[in-house]
Amino acid sequence: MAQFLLSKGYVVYGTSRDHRKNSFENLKALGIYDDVNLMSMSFDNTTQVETALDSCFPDEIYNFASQSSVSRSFEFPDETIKSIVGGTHIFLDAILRTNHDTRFFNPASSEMFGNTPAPATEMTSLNPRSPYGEAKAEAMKLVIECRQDYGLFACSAITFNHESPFRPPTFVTRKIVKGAIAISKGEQKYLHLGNLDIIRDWGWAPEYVDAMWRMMQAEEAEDFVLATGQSSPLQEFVKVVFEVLGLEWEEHVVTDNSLLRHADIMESRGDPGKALALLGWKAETNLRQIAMQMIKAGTIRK
Amino acid sequence: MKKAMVSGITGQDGSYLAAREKNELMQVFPEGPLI
Repeated sequence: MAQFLLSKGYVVYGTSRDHRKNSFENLKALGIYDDVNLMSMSFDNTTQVETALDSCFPDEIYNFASQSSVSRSFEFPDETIKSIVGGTHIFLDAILRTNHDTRFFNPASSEMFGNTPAPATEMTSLNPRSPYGEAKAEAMKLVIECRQDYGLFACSAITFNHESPFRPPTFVTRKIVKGAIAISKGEQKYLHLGNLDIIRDWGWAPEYVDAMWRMMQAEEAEDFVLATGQSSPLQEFVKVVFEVLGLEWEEHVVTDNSLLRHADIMESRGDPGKALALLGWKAETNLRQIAMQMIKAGTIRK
Repeated sequence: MKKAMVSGITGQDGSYLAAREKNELMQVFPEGPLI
């Protein structure tokens, strides 16, 4: 997101809990470390958020700070809910206290829907299956409330999976790519994975930040589903990655029951029709291209 | 020139996990925002 905003000529302020303690490897890998104004800010602290807004008066806020792992949310539900719902609440409250003209972007999630064998739209009812999904649903309600009751320009993107090489190695697509590359180099023989039958709507993150920015330039704030509209089983991603690297996935992938989630969404697919109609946005990168891009980046990055 | 704030700039829970590992999740850094 920061890279995209810089390319659009924005002055970008990036916040983290204590910026002096972080190495910001992702910003360095993107070549934008020196271009982002880094600020220390705990997003669960009202005073710090208000002071941060007062010090830079942003026209737009993209609030990505929160616990972002669905799996981890089962382990730490309280932290997850506090970071997602509490953080959103503090930001919205701070905007109301400081500058009502600041626009606010909230990253909601397809995890709010639960299973969606039929493509989910902005009108689909919410049926979360994880503390992460529950928290995202609650945060989106706060955004709607502030938009309707206080007139804030605040919007949520209901994003389906959007992959990138900047996923941490614990996220499944990055784990698959990293493991397959290691196998291709002879550094390991097997890759342990959970349920390969889960079906997801796989998108490419750089395209999704474009849609998020378009949402923030609209005349009126609205919520949008961001998805490709196509879905594939995780096994398909595994197959493509191993195939590109000249490997037979069946010889190396081991199903590990300890990696199965307590409750998982089996099928997830979004209908991006509104985004196409009102934002002129459409996801173009397909599953194979996503795998290729991640392999290319994975052979450079550790 | 427009100004944007991107929270969570470390990306992918980097700051959160570092704070959790050091038991600093509840810590409020005294110096506040620091550009």
